Amino acid sequence: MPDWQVELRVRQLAVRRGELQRQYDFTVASGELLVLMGPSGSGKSSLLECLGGFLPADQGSIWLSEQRLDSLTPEQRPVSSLFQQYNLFEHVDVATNLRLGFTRGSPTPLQWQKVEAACEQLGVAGLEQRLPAELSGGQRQRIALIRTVLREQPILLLDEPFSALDEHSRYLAGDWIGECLKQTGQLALLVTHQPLDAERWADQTLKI
Amino acid sequence: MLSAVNVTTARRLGQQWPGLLSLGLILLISLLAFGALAGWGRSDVATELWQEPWFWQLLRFSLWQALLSALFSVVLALPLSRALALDSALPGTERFLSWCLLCFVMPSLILITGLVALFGRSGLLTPWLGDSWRLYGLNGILLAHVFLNLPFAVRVLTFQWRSIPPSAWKLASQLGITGWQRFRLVEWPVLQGVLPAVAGFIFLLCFNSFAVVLALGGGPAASTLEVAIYQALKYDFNPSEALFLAWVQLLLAGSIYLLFSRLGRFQWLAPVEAPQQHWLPRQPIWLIWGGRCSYLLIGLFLMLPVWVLVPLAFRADIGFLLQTGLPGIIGRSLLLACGAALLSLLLSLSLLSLWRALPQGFWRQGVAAAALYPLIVPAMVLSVGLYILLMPHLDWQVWGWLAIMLINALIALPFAFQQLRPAVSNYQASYARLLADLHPGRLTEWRLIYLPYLRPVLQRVLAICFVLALGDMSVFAIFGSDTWRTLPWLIYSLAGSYRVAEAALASLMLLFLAFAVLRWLETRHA
Repeated sequence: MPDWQVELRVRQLAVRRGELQRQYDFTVASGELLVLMGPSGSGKSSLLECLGGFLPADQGSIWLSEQRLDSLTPEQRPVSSLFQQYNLFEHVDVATNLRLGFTRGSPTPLQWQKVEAACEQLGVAGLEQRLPAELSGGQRQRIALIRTVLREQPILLLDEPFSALDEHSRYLAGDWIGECLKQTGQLALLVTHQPLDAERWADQTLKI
Repeated sequence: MLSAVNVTTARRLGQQWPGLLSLGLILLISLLAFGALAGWGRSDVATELWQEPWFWQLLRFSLWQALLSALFSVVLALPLSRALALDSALPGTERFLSWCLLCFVMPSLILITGLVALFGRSGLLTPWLGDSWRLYGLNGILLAHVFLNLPFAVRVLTFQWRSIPPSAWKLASQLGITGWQRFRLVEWPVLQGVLPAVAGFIFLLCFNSFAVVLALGGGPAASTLEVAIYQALKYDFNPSEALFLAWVQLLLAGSIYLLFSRLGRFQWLAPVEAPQQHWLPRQPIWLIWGGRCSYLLIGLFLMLPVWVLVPLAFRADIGFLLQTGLPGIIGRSLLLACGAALLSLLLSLSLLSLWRALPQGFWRQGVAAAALYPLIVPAMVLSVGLYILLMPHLDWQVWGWLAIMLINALIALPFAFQQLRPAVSNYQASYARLLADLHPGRLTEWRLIYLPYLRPVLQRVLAICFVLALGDMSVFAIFGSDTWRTLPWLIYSLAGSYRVAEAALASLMLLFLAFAVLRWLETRHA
């Protein structure tokens, strides 16, 4: 796993969804977690979509250290996203879904070891041969989270990653994300409705 | 940011060379065929035929037999489909509906042999039909067309009747609506949309029908445009006449298609699901028994022509069949059908991948139109155009097999494209963002995600394309030759030389091949 030393700078970024336009200006450093909070429909997901390249910005710029991101296609951006839904391919098993996070769908033995360790840590080991439809909502969410975080991309965009988790799993998952960020230098933006999440894990909080 | 979207499209288009190649191939073949029709070759279009009485007789008969076939198929299907959907006491309905699917795609030569064995000059049932009975002519054509298309109508209509929600039946019953009123308020609305489209589609299939009319038509009085084109080209060697008839065929078939395609949509391949055990209204006793009688009679009608082949086949002279080179003929048939089916699948997959890379709008519709247009242009027209234009430059004795594979693939393309498109759309709608985020690479995506996703549909489509190509008569009629026959043509010539027992055995082999492939691919996905 590379050790990222990067910085995400969002400058006067204007994002529009329908009638609503919001402007963002913030910086996130390596290893940091920015928590986005706000009522439904306030534009949290739109900001993540804009950073991921799925929603064009009206103006402003996005930088990762010296690289400008806002002119890149979604495929070219150094970003790994956890969406609110459709994170797993329903017709292929969990192991393949996890492997697809790596180049050509074939992780190195070391990468796969990390995946297995993460599954163990988050309580979803032993599900590799199952289809997503055979998992509970919480299990699905943890599998998707593991793939998103362990993909070797410097920016993680996590849209309500704990929405289907009980309190215990939530703590496990949140702590695990924090550890990963510190180890790898990845940085993350995380959308949540729970003020406790921000208190526990946020390096910065952005209220929208 | 907007430029990012454009970059994506352009880059994706760069990767779409297979789709662009397929598009080019289709356009090239069409251009060549239409070039011949437009008189690029050395042959002129014999427009003076316009004044010949036999041409008008031909046209009248082509339309008349298609009209009667469509009418009989739909009218007979109505009571049966209603019974299949609403009478839960009928035994074996699901098997019957699978049999209907096989009947609809069944190579017509199998059926023709069966009909000859039942109703031909020395047929099993002929003594009961009176002295004036003749199979050849309108009688035989109608029997065969109804056999092939009634099952299609039954499947579509049963599907429609079963789609009526249980709550509608319950509501009607609570409000005291019964009989004719209930039919008008509950049942008619689901039928109304599909009836004209189904009838129109059957009309078009029968208007373009070749093998049935060739084998069972009775001389010039009972011939159709398709057969006349073939005869003009292969018997009289009169390309000008063939071109004129091809023009007429193209204009009529094209306008019929455009007309009925606006009438409505329907589903026929979707597995007709077993009715859930929900509450259904009581029917009057005469309606119940009427439905059961039609089940029995139509069931017999759809089984007998195939059953009759079995005892006949035992009397076949196997030595004689082997002399005709049967193993080679089977091998050739399999090869041509596999080639055509795979090619069709490749064409539709590559076109679909181009289709999904394009943004909504003009170009996307253009790709879909290119895949679907062989529906409008009869295979005979494409074949004749290509044959005549390239005749001076290509030895069709040597290259005919390639044209047969290619044109059969084109014939199956609209079907394959239409079956696959909803699955591809769903895939795109569900996973486009995830794929953009993961960007696993084209090869990895196809291998691990895309093809596994499409596999059930792919197998079904492959099986049906294979069976359609296996039964092909009309394309082979133009490009093939007697020195390297396919199985349907062997059967045709056996039946033509009164070798009915040998024809029966060969027909059963053909049926077995078709059935085996359908089953194999269906169980593999189950």
